[in-house]
Amino acid sequence: MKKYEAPELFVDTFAADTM
Amino acid sequence: MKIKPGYILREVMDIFVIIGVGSEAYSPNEILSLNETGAFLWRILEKGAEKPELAAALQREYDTDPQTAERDVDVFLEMLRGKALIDG
Repeated sequence: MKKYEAPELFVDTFAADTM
Repeated sequence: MKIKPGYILREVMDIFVIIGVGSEAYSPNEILSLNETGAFLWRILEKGAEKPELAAALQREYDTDPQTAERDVDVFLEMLRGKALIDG
């Protein structure tokens, strides 16, 4: 049985001109 | 409910990254990623599953109680809906 961690969605936003 | 077509999950150096592979799926100014538990649920959702099934899978795989699993599945599904990643 694995240690539990709540499921999460991470959103990293960046400026378009950084690419 | 199910992950929408056009999204795939790839693990890169212990980071679970969601990649949009179709023009409709692509979000140009955001990188979406999941933690390990989120990736576990994502893979079930790729085949399609409802909330009780997801919560039960969490309990089988992880050391958690039914109430926590159900609550966290609810929150996680809302996160995915917020980014239009799932149907249903």
